Amino acid sequence: MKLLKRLCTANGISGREENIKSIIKKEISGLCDISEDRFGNLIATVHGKKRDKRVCYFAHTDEVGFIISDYDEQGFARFVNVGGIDAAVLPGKVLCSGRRKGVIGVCPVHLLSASDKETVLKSEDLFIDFGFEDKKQAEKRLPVGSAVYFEPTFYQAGNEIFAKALDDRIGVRIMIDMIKSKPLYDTTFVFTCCEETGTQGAETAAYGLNTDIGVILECTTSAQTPDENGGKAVTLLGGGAVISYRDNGTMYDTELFALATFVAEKNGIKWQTKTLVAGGNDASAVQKTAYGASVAAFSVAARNLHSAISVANKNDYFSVLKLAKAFNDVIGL
Amino acid sequence: MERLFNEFEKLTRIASPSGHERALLEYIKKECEPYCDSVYFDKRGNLVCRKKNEGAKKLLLAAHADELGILAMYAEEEGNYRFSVFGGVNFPSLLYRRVNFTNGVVGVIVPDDGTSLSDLKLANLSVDIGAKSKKQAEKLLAPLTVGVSDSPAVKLGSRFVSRAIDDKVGCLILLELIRSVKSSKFDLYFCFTVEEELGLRGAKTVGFEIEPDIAIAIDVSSATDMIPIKRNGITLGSGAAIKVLDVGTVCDKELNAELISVAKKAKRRYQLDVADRGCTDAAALQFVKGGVKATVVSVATRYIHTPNEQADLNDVSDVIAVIKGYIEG
Amino acid sequence: MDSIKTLAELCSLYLPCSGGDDNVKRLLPVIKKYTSNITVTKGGSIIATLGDGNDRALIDAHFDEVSFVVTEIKSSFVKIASPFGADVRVLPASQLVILGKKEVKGVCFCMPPHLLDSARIGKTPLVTDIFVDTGLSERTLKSLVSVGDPVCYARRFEKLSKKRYLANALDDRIGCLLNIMLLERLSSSLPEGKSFDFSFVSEEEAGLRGAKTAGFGKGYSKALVFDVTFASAPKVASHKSKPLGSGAAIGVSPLLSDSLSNELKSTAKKNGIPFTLEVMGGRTGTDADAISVREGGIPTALISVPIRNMHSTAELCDIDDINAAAELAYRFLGGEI
Repeated sequence: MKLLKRLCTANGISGREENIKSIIKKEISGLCDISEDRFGNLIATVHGKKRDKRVCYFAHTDEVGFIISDYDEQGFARFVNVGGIDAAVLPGKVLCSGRRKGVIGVCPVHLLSASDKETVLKSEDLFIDFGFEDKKQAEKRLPVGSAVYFEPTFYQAGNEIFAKALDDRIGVRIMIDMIKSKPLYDTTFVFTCCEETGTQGAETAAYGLNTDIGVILECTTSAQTPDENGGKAVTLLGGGAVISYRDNGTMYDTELFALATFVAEKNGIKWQTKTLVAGGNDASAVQKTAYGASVAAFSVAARNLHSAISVANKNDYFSVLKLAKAFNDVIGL
Repeated sequence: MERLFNEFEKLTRIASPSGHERALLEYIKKECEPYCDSVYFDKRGNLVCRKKNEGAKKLLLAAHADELGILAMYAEEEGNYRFSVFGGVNFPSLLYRRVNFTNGVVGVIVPDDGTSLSDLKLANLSVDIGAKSKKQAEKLLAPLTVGVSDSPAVKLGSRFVSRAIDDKVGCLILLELIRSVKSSKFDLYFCFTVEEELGLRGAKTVGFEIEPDIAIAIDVSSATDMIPIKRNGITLGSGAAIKVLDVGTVCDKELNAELISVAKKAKRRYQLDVADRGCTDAAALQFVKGGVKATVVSVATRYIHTPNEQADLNDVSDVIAVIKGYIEG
Repeated sequence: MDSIKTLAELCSLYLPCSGGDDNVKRLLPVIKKYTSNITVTKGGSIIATLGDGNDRALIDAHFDEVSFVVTEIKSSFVKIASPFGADVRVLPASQLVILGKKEVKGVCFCMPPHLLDSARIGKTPLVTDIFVDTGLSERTLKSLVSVGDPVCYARRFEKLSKKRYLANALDDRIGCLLNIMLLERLSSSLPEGKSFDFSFVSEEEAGLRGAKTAGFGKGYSKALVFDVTFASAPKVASHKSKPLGSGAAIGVSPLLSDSLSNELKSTAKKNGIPFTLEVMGGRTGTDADAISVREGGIPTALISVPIRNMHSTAELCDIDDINAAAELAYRFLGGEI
């Protein structure tokens, strides 16, 4: 959990993932061959027994966030979103860039008409207030092009983890654990960049790897609420490892899906599958690049994905970890 | 015509929604094996049938094996199943459609009570399989079972109606070519692709190993001759539809010119097709490595993506003749 | 080379998105004036190569322009569709040219306000309601034009003031001009060990299609893309546009190489070249999106020139911005002063 905390509280929007990668490198150095491709994906290869097929695991290092695009004369920052962020989660949120903090400003509620109160502004109409006195000062202290993040948060309560960027540091954490526990067979672990901008990292990595099987470790969406514990929730916190059959980006390999559920049942690992077709991940790129590959995805369910604080269940995390390890011992043979 | 229809009808007996094409492809594989030098599934499950002519230009012909269908997601307390769909359907066409699931269960797609026609969406549609409760529903039908419309092929003179003419008719055309082509000026790769309806997913990788020089997708194209007739488009019975462009591909002019001259020489009918909606596997195949000359030859089809698509067997035969003429040179 | 003259020449060409090999035939003679080392790709793009060093860079601009396509011919009218992102709002009473066996001029029919259905008043005409009026008989028309033929905005190239020009297809003939300017300048001072492929790619407006394959397998160490961006104007938000005359817009995005973007920035600063930063959160909407992820990834930089009225009948640019982009690219690619 300590390592997960370090990963979640480190900052890395798409394309600016050095902080995350350096934590990973430190953790796994000496345990595997490490290389970095020119798009910025970190590739770790663990040598074990040979197997017939090449097997790669994927988790992405980037998180959603912002880049400053412009300042007005008073020093208010305009910004662009990196990754899919619902503007509804933004007003009043404290953001940070390096040590500097700022807030997404809101018009006082007193001044709004009834209809304005119900309207969510678009990101492009919002601004970040870093407290700069004017444009000149702003440009000097935090130049246009600087990355901005949700404020780092991480704490646990009961079985639940509350943190920024669980998507997908949780997958990164699981891969690090897998590397440390020495897989039985040759396995490649790819820490991909730029998933949130459209899986470009996985696309470039998969091109060179020519893998036969790709397993994506993710943090996926849950719409579970006090009133919705059924199908509309998509996945449930505490419902176990999410084994994907289908999402918006991918129809998963039906044989791998069947095998994964079998492995879960056999090892007494709690599992669930998405009840609606929702979300997408690196699988779509891995499956369709170059010669293509068979893909599977195991995810930890989380609420409030792509916001300042997402919420996941510790037991689900352990379920995915256990499943990923057990699965790796039986595939590609 | 009778034989063509019968061969088509055989293909419609096997359900093959996106991602679940294997059963159909195994059938096609068996049919092709006697006529091909090699027949294999690639990594993504696309079926590739090669008629070797080492050293000649490589021609890749693609038809997609997948069809529209539904996937049972979860059962409600009342026993109805919520579902997702494969491919682009307009929701009104789903209403009260009878569905055959691959385990033999039959269901009917119904709207939630009180849903207005203009507000149809997956969230207020379900399949009624006659179950009284969630428990009974799950016993009858496991979640993640696929189903297709219960609308078998019927011949109407030279025309025929069926579910999944898109693109089982393309598979039929490829099969007929595989059976009948004797000599070829190309190294021939017949590809039956997966998951076209989900965004050309199978075709994106099928060309990577083959590295074709030329790619032709065989698919259906939307006819515009339903009442009231719009004249600016292709029509049933007017011959092979040679695509000029669609949303995904500006088709190769030279290649089209060759196809047209073959058609003229063989006295086969053809029509030019400009489609401002939809695209085909050619849109993916054109990007293989350094690029591939690509075009699309289609069978004009009415009511595409509904349970009862309609096409004309004369057009099917025209497409076969044009492609065959092109291959044999 | 007179850059204005070359720009005028480039803008005078009809290079519709769906022009295929005909585009290559029209554009080749212009490029051939500057080099003979030219390849045409299967995707209908043109690559002009300079040098044979092992450190190979790709410099990309697209030559295609937004265009329409003929769907039906009826009496003296031609019906069109707009599959490639053209601005339909500007069509009523605009001049178009149909590229049939011959170029056929026409004017878009517009319903006189007196006769307009009241529900349509104040609304953009539907492209399905637009007819190009050619004045020819149906028979003549059918002998010249067939379904699928491309349709372009009629050409114009006007000098509005000392520095500002009005033309069609500045998106992205400006990029083509920059390619040619660099080709000419670098050929007399080619940096040691380097070589450059200047690609003039097809079908960008249809979805970055030419750039997906042009120069495949050449092992580029980096790529530089030239395109246009939005210039400030009334009704164009100031934080989403760059003023005309503000210099070269350097792209910053997760999908572009940060180190190349920084290099462009410091090169501009060092040489006193005016520039702005154009920040994007992911996809840039240019060929860079296709090139940066190609073949396992090619580190890519983006320089854009602001223009007004993008994708319309009359785009507008400032020659200073073009010169700034050319100078920046030249220094960036290692050209000597």
